[in-house]
Amino acid sequence: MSTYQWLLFLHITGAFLFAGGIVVAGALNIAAQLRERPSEIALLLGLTRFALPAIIAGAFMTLGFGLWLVSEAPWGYSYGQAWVITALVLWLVGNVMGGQGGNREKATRVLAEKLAQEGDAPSAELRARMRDPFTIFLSYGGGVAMVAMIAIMVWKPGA
Amino acid sequence: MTPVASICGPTCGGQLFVHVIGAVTLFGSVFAVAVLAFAALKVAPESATVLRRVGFWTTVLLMVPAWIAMYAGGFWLLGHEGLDHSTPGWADAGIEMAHVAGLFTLLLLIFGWQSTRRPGRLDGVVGSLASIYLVALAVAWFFMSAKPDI
Repeated sequence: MSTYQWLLFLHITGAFLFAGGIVVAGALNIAAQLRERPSEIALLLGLTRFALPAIIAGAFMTLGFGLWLVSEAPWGYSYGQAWVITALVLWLVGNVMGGQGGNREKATRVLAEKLAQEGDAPSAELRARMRDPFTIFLSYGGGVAMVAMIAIMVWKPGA
Repeated sequence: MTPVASICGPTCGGQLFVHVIGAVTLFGSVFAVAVLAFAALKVAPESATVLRRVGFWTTVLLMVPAWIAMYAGGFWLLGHEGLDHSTPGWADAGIEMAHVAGLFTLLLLIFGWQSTRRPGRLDGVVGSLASIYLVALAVAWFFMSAKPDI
């Protein structure tokens, strides 16, 4: 196999880890949104830690091997093309939004764990944190950026 | 012809997008089911019940639609590119893996549903099946992305 084929495989592997990890975190987050008991919310949000290594490794693999692919691919791609720049901007925006959203969800999980140890009764404060519009905007915005990135990679407008 | 799916974006974007979104969502949903099943082995029975239900509904609401999107999108793409009657080796390998994925999805549906009815007995089976499924998906995306001459 050529260098290009190996790079494409590693780039796609990064994309699967990145997007797959986001799907895991999203699924667990939605499941937690549907719960009222703090212990159950803490348990489900706590499991998102298993998705984090995949998201981080995938993010850097897509970036590193993707940039390498631009110069290695035999289709005349260049770093100045609109689709490459758009993909890089989306990568940055998606990671910043997802990271900030994740930090806010971590604070929610810590509150859920505390409430679970103090009687495990449903809490209005926890419910409000779970449905905080800004946290939802950040977390789901990161997911939308990832879908947009895949669309850019598929259509490659201007390539 | 070899790298068709990598460069046909301007003409086959819709088909490729459905296939890729289905594939990455399928991987994520299987990953989630594996995490939930193995976690169910290690938590209190009451919490494990919650995890089994979430795992089963992740299979129903995410894994099954994702498999359908991946499978249908793949054949739509092959048809669009005129490769549905004489598929290249990498596509044959991907199609075989897609059929294996369908079988695993069906098994996870059955065992996932059973695990919600017989607590504690099938978590290991569901987790192991999901783990093998993840490896099978990795093999599939190797053939579909690198497209080795086979």
